[in-house]
Amino acid sequence: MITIGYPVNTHKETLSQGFVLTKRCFKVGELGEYLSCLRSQDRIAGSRLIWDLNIKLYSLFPLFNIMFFIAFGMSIVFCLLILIEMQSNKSKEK
Amino acid sequence: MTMRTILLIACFYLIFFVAIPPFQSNDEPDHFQYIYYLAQGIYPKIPDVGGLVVFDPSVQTVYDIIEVVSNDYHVPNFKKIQKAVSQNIPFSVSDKTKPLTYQAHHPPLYFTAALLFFLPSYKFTQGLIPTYYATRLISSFFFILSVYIAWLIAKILIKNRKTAQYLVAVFAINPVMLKMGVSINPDIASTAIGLATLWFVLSVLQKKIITKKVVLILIGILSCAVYIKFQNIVYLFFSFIFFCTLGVRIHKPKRFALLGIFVVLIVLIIYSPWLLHSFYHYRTFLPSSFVYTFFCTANLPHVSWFRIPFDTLLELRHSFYHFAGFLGWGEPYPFSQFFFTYALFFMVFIFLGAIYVYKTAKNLEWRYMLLYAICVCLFFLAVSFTYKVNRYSCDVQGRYLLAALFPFILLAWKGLCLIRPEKKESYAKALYVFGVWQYFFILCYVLIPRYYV
Repeated sequence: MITIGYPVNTHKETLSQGFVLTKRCFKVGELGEYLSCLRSQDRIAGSRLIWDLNIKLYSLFPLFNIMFFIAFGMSIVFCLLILIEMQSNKSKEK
Repeated sequence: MTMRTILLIACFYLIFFVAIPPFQSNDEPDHFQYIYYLAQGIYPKIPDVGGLVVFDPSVQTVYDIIEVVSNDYHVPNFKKIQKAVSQNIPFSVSDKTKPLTYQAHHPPLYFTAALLFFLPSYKFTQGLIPTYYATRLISSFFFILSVYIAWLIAKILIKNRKTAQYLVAVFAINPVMLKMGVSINPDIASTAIGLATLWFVLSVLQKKIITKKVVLILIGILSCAVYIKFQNIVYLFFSFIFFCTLGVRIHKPKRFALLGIFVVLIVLIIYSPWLLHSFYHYRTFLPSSFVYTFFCTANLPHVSWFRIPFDTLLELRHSFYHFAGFLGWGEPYPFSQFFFTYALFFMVFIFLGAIYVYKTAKNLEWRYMLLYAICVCLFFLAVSFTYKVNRYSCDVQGRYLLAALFPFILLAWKGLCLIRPEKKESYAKALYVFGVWQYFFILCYVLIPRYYV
C-alpha cells in the first residue's frame, strides 16, 4: 500500500500528538505515488486545497493570496499567448 | 526580449516570492541575522563550536515564530506567522548577546548591500516579517541583474534574437534560480557578478581593445565578486587565462601575461583586509573551510585514493539533480526517475556541446564561455575533492554552480543542435517549453506540497 502525504503538523504538535500525514493526494516522492496521485480522485484539483492555500498565503502577509492567484492566472495566460505565437510563427515559416 | 516573455518571467518569479514562506531557504535566519548585526554597526563572528545549539538567541526567536521547516521536515506554523505579522513582532537581540553567526564566513558585500532595504524597513516597521520581505528585495535586484546580463551574453553569442530569448527564459525560470532569487542568500549575487565577469570579457573580445579603463572596470568587477563570496576567487583565474590567451592571439604573450598577473595581484591586495581579518580571528585564510568542519559530518566510509577522483567527479551530479527541481535544504524532490533522466540528458548534451565548441575554431566567444564554465566547475571539483578526502557528507549543491547554469544551458542547446543543425530555433523552443512545464511541475508537486499541504 502506498502512503501518500506530507507531515501536516508542526514540529511541536508532532512531539505532543504524534506523526500525522495529510490525506490529500499530492506527494510525488516516488513514481508509484505520483502515478497513484494522478489516477486518484483526491488529486490536487480539490477546492479545499485552493481555500487552504488562500488562507495560508494571506497569513504569510496581507494580499499575498491575491498576488499569488493573479500571478498564477497571468502566467497561464502568458504561457498560452506565447504558445500561440510559437504556433503562428511555425505556420508562417511553412 | 518580448514583453510577454518578460511578464511571464515576472509572474513566475512573483509566485515563488509569495509562495516560499519566510526564513525557509538555505541558511536564511543566519543571513538575516548577519544583516541585522551590520545594521547595528557590529561585525559578527563565527562561533568556534559546532552544532545548532550555539545559535544566537535572536535566531531562536525566528525559529520560534516561523518554525523553520527545513530543520524538522514539517509544515510552517502559519498561525504563528499570522500572529507575528498582526502583532508586528520585532526582531532584536539583547545587549548581552554575542554577535555570533556561522554565516560570518561569507565576505560582507552582499549583506552590506541588503542594508539598503533592511534599514528603512526596520526603522519604519520594526516588525520581523515586513523587514524580512523588504530585505528579500536585494535578491530580487540581483535576480533581475542576472537575467539581464544573461540576455546581454546571449546577444553576443547567438545571432537569432528569438533563440537567445528562449534560452535566457529557460535560465530565468529554473526552479533553483528562482528560489535563490527570492532568498536572502549571497548565491544570487554571486551568479550576477559571475555572469557580469563573463559578459565583460566577451564584450572586450568583441572590441579587441584593452585600455586602462577596461582593466580598471575588470578589477572593480572582480573585487566585488570576491567580496560577495570566496568561491568567486575563481574568476581571477578565469581573467588571468583570458589575458594570457588574448596575448598569444595578438602576439604579445608576455605583456598580456604580466597584465593578467597585475589584475590578479591588485584584486588580491583589495581582498587582503578580509583575508587578514579571517586569519586574525580564525587562524585560517578560508573561514568557509573552518565552518565546514562543523556542519559536514565526517561519516562517509573510507575509500581508496584510487576511487576518490572518480567520486569527486561524480559529485557534480548533485548540482544537476538540484537544477532538475530539488530546491535544497530539507526540501522534498520529484521521483528519482525524473532526476536521473534530467541529469543524464542535461550532462550528455552539455558534454557534446562543450566538445563541439572546443573543436570549432570560429566560436571564439563560445570558447571563452566554455572556459568560464570549466573554471567554475574546477573550483567545485576541488571543494568536492576536499569533502571526499575528509569523508564529509556535504555535497556540491545546485546553488553553488548557479553562476554556470546559463553557460550550461547554452552548451546543452549547442549539444542538441548537433542532432539537426538546421533546427536550432526549434531546439531552443523545445527547451523553453520544457522549462515552463518543469516550473509548473516543481511548483505543484514540490513547492506547494512542501509548505501548504
